[in-house]
Amino acid sequence: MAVSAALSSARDRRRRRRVHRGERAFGTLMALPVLVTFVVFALLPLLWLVRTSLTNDNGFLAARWVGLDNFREIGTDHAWWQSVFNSLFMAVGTIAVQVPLGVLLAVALDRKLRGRGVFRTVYFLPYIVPISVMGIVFAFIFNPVGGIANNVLSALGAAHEPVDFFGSRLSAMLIIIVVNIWAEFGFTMLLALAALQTIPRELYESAALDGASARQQFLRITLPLMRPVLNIIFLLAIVSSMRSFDLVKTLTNGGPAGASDVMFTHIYDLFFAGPGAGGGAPRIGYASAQAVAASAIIAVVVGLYFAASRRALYGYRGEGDER
Amino acid sequence: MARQWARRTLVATLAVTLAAVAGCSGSGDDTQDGVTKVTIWSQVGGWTDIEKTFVQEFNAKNTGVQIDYVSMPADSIVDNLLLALRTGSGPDIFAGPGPTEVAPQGYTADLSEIMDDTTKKAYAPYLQGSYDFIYGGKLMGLPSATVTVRLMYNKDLFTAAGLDPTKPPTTYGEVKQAAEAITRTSNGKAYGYGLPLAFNGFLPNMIEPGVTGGNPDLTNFGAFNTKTGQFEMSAFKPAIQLFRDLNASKSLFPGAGTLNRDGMRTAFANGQIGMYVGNSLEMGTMNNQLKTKVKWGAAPVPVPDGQSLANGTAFTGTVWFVNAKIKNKAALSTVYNAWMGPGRVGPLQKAGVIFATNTTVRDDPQYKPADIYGYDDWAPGDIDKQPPLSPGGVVTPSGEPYSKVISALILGTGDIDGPLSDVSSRYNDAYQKAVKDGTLKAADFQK
Amino acid sequence: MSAGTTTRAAARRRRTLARTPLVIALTLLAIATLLPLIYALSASFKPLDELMANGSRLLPDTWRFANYSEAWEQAQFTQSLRNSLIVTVSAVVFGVLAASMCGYVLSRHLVWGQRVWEAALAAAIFLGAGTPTLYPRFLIAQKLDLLNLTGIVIVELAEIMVLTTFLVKGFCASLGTDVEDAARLDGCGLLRTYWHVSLPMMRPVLTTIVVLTFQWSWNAFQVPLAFTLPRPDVHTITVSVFALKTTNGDGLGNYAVLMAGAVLALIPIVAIYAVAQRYFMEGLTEGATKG
Repeated sequence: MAVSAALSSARDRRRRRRVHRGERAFGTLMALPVLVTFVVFALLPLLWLVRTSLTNDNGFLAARWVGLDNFREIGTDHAWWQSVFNSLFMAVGTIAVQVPLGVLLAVALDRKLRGRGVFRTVYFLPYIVPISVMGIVFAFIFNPVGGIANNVLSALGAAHEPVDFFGSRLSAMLIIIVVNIWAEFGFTMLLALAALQTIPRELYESAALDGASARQQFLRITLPLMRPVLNIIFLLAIVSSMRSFDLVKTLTNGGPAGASDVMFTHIYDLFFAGPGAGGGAPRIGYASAQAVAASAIIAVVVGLYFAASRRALYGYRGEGDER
Repeated sequence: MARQWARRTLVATLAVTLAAVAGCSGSGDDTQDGVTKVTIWSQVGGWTDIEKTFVQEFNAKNTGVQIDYVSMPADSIVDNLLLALRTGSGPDIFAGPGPTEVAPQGYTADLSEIMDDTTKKAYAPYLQGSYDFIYGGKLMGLPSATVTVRLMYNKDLFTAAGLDPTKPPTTYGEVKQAAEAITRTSNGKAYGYGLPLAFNGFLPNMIEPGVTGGNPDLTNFGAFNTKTGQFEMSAFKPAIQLFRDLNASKSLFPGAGTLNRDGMRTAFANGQIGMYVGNSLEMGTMNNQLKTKVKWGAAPVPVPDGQSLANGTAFTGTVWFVNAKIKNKAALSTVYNAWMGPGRVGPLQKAGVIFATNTTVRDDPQYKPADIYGYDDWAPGDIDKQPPLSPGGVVTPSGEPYSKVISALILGTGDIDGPLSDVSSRYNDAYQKAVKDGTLKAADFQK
Repeated sequence: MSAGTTTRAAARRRRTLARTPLVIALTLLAIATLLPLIYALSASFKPLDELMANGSRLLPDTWRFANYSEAWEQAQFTQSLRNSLIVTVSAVVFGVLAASMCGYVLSRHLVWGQRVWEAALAAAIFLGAGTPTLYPRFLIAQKLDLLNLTGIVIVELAEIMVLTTFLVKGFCASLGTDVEDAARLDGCGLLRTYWHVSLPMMRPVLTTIVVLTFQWSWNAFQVPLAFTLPRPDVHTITVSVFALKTTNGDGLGNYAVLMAGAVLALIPIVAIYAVAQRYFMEGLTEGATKG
């Protein structure tokens, strides 16, 4: 792999020298539809967010510049850090199950198997159902009184009085994680399936001739060659777990008493608070500062992941060199 | 972020391009062929059909003015209306947001020149006083409904527990006794009390009416004392203690921390909850939507021990505003006065959908609905008053909103006084600061 | 000869036996995956008071098909279905084309300011702040006179194309350039090379981004809501379906009709996915012999 990477980057360098000026202009033209919409509807709004984070805008009274006050407040905001921790916990808990499960399913369903199309469709179904609707459904299912989960438990004799699934922070977070995995593992499977299509079949055939077991083939061929897509899978899983909103909003709404708040439900509450929503005025400036902080936190986590994954990659190569 | 400079350059370039491309999108002229269109945005609800009928009849009768009626889902109307108003568009007449969300921002017009004499007379009690729709001395909106707050209780469960169903509790101590008796005698089938902490408005709608009910100086959104000009959140202590006791004796409906209002209503309709505090919308919910077989009653809200109810909280509901950007005053005035008059409000009260604030309709027996279960229990009485204006909804305190602090205290076990005094001082600081820099006027909130 | 057949048959049986636990596991997982959806389906046939009272029963006592007709009527399904189809189909067509072009040229280092763009796009994957940026996005759309279906498509694409472009770029980077180089040497221009040579090779990743864009656009809620609220004639299906919950105003949420609406909204996307995954995946792996 190291050799082919070196080769391809050498080839890239040659190619780049070879590219004509006009060709690059044409390439830029082809990229333009994405780049223009991206700048107008993704970057400009972010800039607005950064600007607002430096004010005390609350939607009611004239906003004033407050410099970095909002960011200073974030430092000591216990509830915010609790929601940050919950987001991290949710990401780790989700990924630990979702990625292995999705990849193994992809490998299983990549073979010829009766009904694999049905399995693929079934596993992917939860991903395409709006999670805000399913949040309501799961809230029904885990209802402490009369919910289906409680009825099953008491029918099995496992619980004598109703279990309050959302009653403690830990159990509320665990249920959020389970539902999140339910919703997302099919997407991991789909990405992994697409990645498996790029692995040349001959590799497996020659490995089989050499007497490699299925497990060895998976570890030596499948995983290493899926690496780029695995990176994307991890990246997406981290980002989507840490940006989770709809699910938590409809399932627990951050309850009990904010204990299961994640970053974006916390921000939402500040943003859309108001007398009717049981708060004071919405704190748009402070919410914007938290949104900026949330972006930074996600960036750090993704950065840490890439650092760790690079080290794992070098570790792998070292092993390969020995052989 | 490493490429901040590069992005900034790009963004700056595009901003310039954008500004050049974006012409004035100006608001269109709503008058065509001598017919003026007046747009009304209303929430979807039990009133929608009646309002549509009213609009049809109005449009049939009038030739020069036509109403363009749009009804919108309740949970999103406010965000989107504010979005529209902020960007200078939006309907001519609308309801949904609270006055504090639209009046100080300058989105609303002064009604004094839009109301005719009939409207002024019909709404006389609401033209002055400590109302949130009166801002800067100007009348910025008129409420068309009164929403009362009561203790809902299940008479069957009261009887089964050996309690007198004609004497519902009036104090927290009695609530505790009754709730525990109901839980005890129901063999795990029912719980004495329901408190949906996942319902965003649980404080102003379910706790503050009791907490402020015994003390006429206190108002909602943080127990603000209109005499001293201070938030006195220590007033919440008896309520917090009550719910902690109920929780400890397992008389509080399980899962209070994530229970939402609909879940609690359903449990009550199923006979699983003895009592809860709700507003007059519960009547329609129980009778029409959940079709409960429970014999329920609605009584004045209980207050902390040693107090008695002096102020029954009644909210003025559905405040109708006029967009500050008036295009055709005469047409607008015609529509607004008709909208607030007996033509629309009368049938609404007759159908049991609202308690009208329009005094002509309120006092006219022809608009009293026939035979609605529990109607008289909910009908507003002399004791039911709008709480005085509170700065709690407009200040921007640092840290957690008081609703989160209080729900955490209810579910927790630790010290109550410390966190309450902390949240009071945070709200007081924010209020003082706003008064000092002139963004709020103390005179608006203090007697 | 007969000995050979027996051995082969035995081998096949052994393989089948070895697979049985796998099939059982897959089936169990499939059931667990489906249960919540079946529950939702059954809820969509219950009367509201029954759903709320006996939420735990799997099958309705009373079957209330009127939930569906009410959902259909109140959500103005024919119209919102049409709007959703317009939005989603344009989003998929333009989004997939634009992302595959952009991802491709980025992977071949053919863009001015390549590094800056890559960094900005990569950063945007985790910077997009969703709800908090709704207001500025609305403002910009208003300035550009885009508070309509076109605007919804563009704004939805602005978010999802960052991701799909990245997926394409990653995929193309792992594709060899030999065939392309040959085509280029034969005098094929960039666009023709992309269209005739590279695009067909991107099939697996195209499936992914088609499904991703379709799902994103079909289920999008906040942007279509904010952009079309005052104009019911341009509501998309999610906007109308979510409005069903609040048909009782501040009273009880109308969950039964909401479920019926959600089921109706789900049918097209499930159909599309079933077809898409068959077409792309099965077609691709056909003829490949694997153990």
